[in-house]
Amino acid sequence: MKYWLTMLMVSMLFVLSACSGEEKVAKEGEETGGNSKEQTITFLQPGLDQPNQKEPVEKMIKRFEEENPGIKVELQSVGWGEAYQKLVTGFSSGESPDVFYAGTRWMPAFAQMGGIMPLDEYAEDKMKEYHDGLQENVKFQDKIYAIPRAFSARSLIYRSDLIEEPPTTWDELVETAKKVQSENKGMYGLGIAGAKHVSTTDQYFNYLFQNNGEVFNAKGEVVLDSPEAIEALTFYRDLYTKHKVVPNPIEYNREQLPILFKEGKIAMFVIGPWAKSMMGLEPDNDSTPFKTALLPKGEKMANVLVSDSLMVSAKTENPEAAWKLIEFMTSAEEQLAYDKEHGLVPIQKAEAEDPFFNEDPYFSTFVEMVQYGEPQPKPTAWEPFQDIISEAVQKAMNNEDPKKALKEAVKEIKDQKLEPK
Amino acid sequence: MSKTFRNFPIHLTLILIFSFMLFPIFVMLSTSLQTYENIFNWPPEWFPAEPQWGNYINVWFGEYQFKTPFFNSLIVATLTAIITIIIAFPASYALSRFHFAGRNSMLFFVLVTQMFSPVVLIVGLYQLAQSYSLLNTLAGLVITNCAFTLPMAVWLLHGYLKNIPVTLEQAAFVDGCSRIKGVFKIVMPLAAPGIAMSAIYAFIMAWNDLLIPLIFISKSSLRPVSLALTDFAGQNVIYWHEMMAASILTTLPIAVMFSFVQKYFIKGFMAGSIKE
Amino acid sequence: MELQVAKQKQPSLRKKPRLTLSPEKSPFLYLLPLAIFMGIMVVYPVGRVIYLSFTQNLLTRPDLGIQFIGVENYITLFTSTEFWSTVLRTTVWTLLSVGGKIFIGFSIAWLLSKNIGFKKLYMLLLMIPWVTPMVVAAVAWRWLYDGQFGMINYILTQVNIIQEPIIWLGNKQSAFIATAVTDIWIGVPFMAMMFLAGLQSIPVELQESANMDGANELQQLFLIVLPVIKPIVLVATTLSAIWTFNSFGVIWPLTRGGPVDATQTLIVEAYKRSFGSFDMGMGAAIAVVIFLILLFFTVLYKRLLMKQEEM
Repeated sequence: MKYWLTMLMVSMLFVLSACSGEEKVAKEGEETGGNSKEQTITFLQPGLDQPNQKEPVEKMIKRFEEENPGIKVELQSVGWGEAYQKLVTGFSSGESPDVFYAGTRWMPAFAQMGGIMPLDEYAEDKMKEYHDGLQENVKFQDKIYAIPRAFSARSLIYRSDLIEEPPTTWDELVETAKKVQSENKGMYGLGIAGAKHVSTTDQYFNYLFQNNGEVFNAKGEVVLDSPEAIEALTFYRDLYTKHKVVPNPIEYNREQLPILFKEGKIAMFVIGPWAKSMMGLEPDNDSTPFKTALLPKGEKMANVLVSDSLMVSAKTENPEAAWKLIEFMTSAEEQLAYDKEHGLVPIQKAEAEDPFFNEDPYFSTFVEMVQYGEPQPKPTAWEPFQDIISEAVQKAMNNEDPKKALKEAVKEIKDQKLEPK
Repeated sequence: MSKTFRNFPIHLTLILIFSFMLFPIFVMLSTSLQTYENIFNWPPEWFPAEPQWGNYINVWFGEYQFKTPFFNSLIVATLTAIITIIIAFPASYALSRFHFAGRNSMLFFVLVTQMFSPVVLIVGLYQLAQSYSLLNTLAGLVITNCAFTLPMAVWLLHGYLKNIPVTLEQAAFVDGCSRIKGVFKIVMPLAAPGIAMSAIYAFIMAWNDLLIPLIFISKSSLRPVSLALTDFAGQNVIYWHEMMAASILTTLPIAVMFSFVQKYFIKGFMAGSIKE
Repeated sequence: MELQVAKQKQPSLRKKPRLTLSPEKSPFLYLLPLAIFMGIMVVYPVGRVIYLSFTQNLLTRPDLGIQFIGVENYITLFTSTEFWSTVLRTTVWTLLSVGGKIFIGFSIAWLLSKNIGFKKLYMLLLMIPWVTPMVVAAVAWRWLYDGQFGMINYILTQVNIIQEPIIWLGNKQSAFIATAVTDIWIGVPFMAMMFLAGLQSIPVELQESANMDGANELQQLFLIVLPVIKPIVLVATTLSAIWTFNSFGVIWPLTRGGPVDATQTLIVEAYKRSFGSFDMGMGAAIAVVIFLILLFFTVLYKRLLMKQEEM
């Protein structure tokens, strides 16, 4: 059987060699490169197949290749929607890119399945450049597995021509939303996320943390069915079902809200600093002028800090070259340029001193929010966790009892052994 | 004229149904010719005042580089069709001409596999492809696609060959022609429409398949159209005008192929029922 | 050589074929490529999936290894209420979609079978949804369904059927129906074509005599037309049911099984288990269940087909 199998495969391959020719050339390039001269490494960054996204990264890679003549970088991309699945299947088939950009939240699962390599030997000094919270976040079992790349806090963006005073508490949020909505036909007061997407978890977690709730307690046990958590979900849900101040959240992830805002469909929403570049508008434009404000607070002020990181495949044949690329990308100038271009919060300590981030009224709010930041929860595998949380949110939006929805979520998290114990 | 007039209610009903059927296509075309700003206009601009043909050029050569997935799909679908026919034709010939033990169970087996959802096989195929390093290759897609196109092609071709009288070949055999030669010289030309139909069916199936590339392909340079479209639609911000342009580009080859064999398809369906 | 030529002059089909590999008399060589290919690409994977369904195999936890756990996956599956609601949901979704396809497909076929003009044009237009790749259809419909900017809401609010825009893919019920509508849209042309073929096979004399007897359209439909085309209807329906049951290309790009789990059919569930949470064992168990269901329908289809051939 095995013999026939091989024979057939070989003959198939022969027939098909025409179409995989391109592949071969690339592979040969890698092999002849070896350690001595030309090395090719692959770099994957999700979400680049879109207008205005790829070009800056391509330019950055060009700069890198000029500085490091022996190394060629092949840029790849995949939609964020498929990124996690592609990376995991890549690890198990040995087809993963050498260096990739991914959510820091995925790191524990990747590390546990042996997909990425520890970077301590390279990164020990490098890590000191980052904020303390981030240094902790990229460690798994006391080893550094990822280098922070992008980082953001959340603020409220509101229509400055329609809202004089931005809301500062939950109650005011509802009140303001109702007021704008009644004054402007066809416009909702607020926009929130409820799609199966990472942003749904952190939009809900903002309210959860503000209400003194937790996802996992200090022991790493899931406590998402606490009264605080239920209250927070009820509030989040009521925005839609009771107060009716948001368009149906289930269709939207947070990244779609800027478009609704720009088109005049919503008057407020919570997002990271990249909203400006997504809308392609300056805050003081004529059609939809906007400003940023601190989040309306609950029991306390809080918001989730989310970061993305660079990781290196455990199977890479060129770890040195991979590290060189990371080092280049995260060098002070490149990082500053990247953050400015993408409208991100300064990720390295030195960067924060750049006047750009503190003087600009749009950005300074986000920088201010960093101090209220709480890290993203760290389940053993993020993606199933995210599904469970967004499902609980969707159930609540569909008029199921928030308490029941969260109880089911807790059970599911336990069943799937996602607690970081 | 009078006939058309008399059938007015029928035409009216048909036009109603067909406007439902063609509406999505119309919206696709309309959206693909708008600017990004315009697609959010309310009320929508059905017929853009300045059609943006540039969207197609952008999709093809611009950031999306849609030409790459397009040619990937073209290669994969063409090879799938060729291999399918190379394997399916002799098999269906045998099934329609020889009577042997196990023929019926073989036909049944073909029928069963034709009903399979790829999901049933995909885990096994994935592991198979993995052990032969066929993940992230177009060859892997071709071979895997064949697993699904073959049964359908055998089934279609078997049905077609059954209706070609055996006497024609037998006459040739009597004249001293070998069976192989007879098949090439006599059966193949007669079966050409059936072969074309099966090949195109295989092409279309390969072109449309999403599940296999979803799992097999992680390199963007190797994505076929179905995966590329899903990827673009899975982005945080969807640029609908360009998405629709890409969708139209994806549909075109299939539509063109289909228009060539359309009459055979209809004939196949109505064999023996139309009175001419 | 000479010997062979001599043999060929005799009638080619012998009564008792001996065991031979010659391409002249034996189907063996013709079938060999197919047999090998299907053996590797179908039989082996099916076996593999059946084996996997008895194991615990989490791709994300290579440290746990692959453990043989017997029928545990099946027990977990059959005792979970979620699984049974997925089965029910899949059934209802399939029925809804196939029902829609039959109804619209038959209407089109019925109208086209009349003696009317522009028939060729109608048939050509009918092909369009059929040639639209599923992914394209799904993407296009997603845009149509969009809650704020979608054309469907625009039209429905314009003609006052609804007052407020509906977020079609955002509510459990509406998403369920919306995905089925898209699936119907793709499947109607096939149905219409099959039915049309059936309708045109009805002898003209039969209808004429019915006309003379003064039977009205409905009576004709139920008393004459349906009984005659029943076999075609059954075959087309079974085929369509199988395809609909298997539909992945529509649901995945439209909703990925959401909101909550409103459009999660067995196929989507199997995919999600295997390549979403990378639980290969459980994914395989669901795949085996799907396999058995399909097997049942195929046997049904075979029966119908054989009956039809007898007729």
